[in-house]
Amino acid sequence: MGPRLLEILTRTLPTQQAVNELRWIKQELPSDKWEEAVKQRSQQRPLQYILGTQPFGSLTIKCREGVLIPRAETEEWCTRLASCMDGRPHCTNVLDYCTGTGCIALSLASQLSDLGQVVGSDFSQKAVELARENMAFNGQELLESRNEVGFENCDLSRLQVPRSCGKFDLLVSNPPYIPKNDMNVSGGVEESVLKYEPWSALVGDLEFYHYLCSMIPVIGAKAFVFELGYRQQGMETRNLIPDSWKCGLGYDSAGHIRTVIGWCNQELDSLGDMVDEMLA
Amino acid sequence: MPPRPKVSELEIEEKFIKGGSGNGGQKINKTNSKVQLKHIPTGIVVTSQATRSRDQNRKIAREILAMKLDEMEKGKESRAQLLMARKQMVKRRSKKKSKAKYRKLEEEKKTESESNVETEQETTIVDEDEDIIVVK
Repeated sequence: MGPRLLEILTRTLPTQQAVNELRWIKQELPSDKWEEAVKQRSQQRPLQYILGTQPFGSLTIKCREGVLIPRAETEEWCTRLASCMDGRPHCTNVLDYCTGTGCIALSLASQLSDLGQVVGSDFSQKAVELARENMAFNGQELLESRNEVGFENCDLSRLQVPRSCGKFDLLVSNPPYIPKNDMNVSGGVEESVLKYEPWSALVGDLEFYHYLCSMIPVIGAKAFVFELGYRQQGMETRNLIPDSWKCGLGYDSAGHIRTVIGWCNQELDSLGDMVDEMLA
Repeated sequence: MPPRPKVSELEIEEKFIKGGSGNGGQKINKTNSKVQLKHIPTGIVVTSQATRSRDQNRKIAREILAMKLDEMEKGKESRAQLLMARKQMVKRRSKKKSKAKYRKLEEEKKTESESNVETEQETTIVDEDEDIIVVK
């Protein structure tokens, strides 16, 4: 039955990927689920929705339809951010807007101790529920860092501030950043993403960077990291924050522009380690 | 048994091999997180895509590299070779044992002894130090 399942998977996946994915399906699911899993995967359903999880740093993040699956690029900059902030004069209270599965908030909360409050917020109730599940699911990893983690239903476009806390030193976000016109295969979006992941977590452009930059003074943030997909989104962010702030772009390991980072005082200069290209 | 070998972080160059093409980020949902390590002094390259976790693959790739270097340096005295030698020895012994047991059973049958109830214990190999390394 092995070769036949592999044969089905190789119809839609490159051989090595099919071999890997079949191995993971067999490792993580009981044998009576393999057939159905392979069938769904061959119809482009994301592996993470089939298996129910995605590793993220040292955490295991639960994944479900309706909430964006954490990406490797996000994992990468989160790890980088944590190592920049580790042991340095650090930020108190962190807000993660558009938190989705909660992966960014949970990852920072597990890697850095004494951050104070780490709050993840999302306008999707489904996301908030899943993020709370993920907090419980990774409880052991979060225990030692002595942070208070929570998730709330808030709407970024209405600049809503979480009820549990009003002031945050650091604002992080992975907002929807694929412009509507690019939301197709020729725009570089994978079919599996188009078919199965929530468009509300994907489709967006400059407006989200406007909302995020407007949030900065509202919550009193001294630093921010926003994920992005286009240089223009970074340039817009640079233009929206005061000139006195330091601001730059970070690349991912594939060499693509992936984050825009900013901070307002020297104490936070260690965030410069996140920057690959300073913006004047 | 010698301890698990380690490689210095200063001697390695790490690369994350990206699956899929294009711009990545939200547009692509990758499932693999292959890690490649190059040992700068020797030029040896190893990769791991054993698990879905990049964290785990990084650890596994380091273990594989360390084993390889240890084997190159110490040959028969390396941990990998010693483990293999021991495994082979255990196998040989258990073969001998089961042969002996078989013979004994045959003899017992011949003497029409009723007491042919034997425990499995005798042939069970307990290899408490078995290393599981997934190399892809």
